[in-house]
Amino acid sequence: MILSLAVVACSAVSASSRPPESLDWAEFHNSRFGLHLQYPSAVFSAQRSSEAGDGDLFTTSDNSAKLLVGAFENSEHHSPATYQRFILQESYPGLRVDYSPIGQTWSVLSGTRGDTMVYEKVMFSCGGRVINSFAIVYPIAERAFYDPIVEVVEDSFSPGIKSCGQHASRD
Amino acid sequence: MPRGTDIVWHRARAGHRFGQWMIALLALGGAIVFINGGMPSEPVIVQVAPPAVRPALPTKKANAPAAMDAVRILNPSPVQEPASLPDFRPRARAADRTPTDYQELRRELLSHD
Repeated sequence: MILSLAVVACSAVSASSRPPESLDWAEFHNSRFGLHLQYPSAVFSAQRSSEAGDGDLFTTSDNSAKLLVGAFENSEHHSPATYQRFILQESYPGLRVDYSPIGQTWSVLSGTRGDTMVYEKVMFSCGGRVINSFAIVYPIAERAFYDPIVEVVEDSFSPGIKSCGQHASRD
Repeated sequence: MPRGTDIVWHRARAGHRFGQWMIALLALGGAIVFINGGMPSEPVIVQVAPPAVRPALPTKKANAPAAMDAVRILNPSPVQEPASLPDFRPRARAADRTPTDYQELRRELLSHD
């Protein structure tokens, strides 16, 4: 038990002491909707996937940080602004928002809640019929390590257009 | 000439004399039983061997707690969980099963399980 804790601690320290460029990055591709991003496989490992094939959850070994990637049909006909308000109320109540830009087909919501940092980017595709999203939460105390990772994940994030012609029906 | 009020005794015949004796004996026996209060006879007392000598039992001391022998249950019943204990099984099952969709995963994003 002590040995395993020591191994986890050493791996966390070694990972957190490395710059994002030196981490091992893996490609994530959603086969149903086609969205794509890169994530540091040395930090996050796949934890759970939904039966519907529309979401995947990644966590760190100590479960202190999580990365959620997914896409779904915009059945509520949200706009980037209305969807940002929706997730702010439903998913992040009490969030202290410090960054929330909104574009024509995208939005970002970032802030803190307690000792947790939240960052979520949303991109609309298929003419607004599909919402693609990735969200990452991590301890504020480790922002120096995770903030650069968020930048790389965001730069690699692209929405899927695979299912635009078939209304995102599952294969 | 005998008068109407005189009792004339006739000698009974031999067969009748035997019956009269039997009736008389039965009447005598009944009288004896009645005098004795219905008890036909005295109870029979039989002398038997004395009981075996039993070991002396310990006497209970004043204010001393009663000695208790250890009880060992040979066929204990299965232990049942009290209904008041918290049940974590539903949460464990929810964490083990595959989430249905993205929205369910989203609810796990900020959970601390």
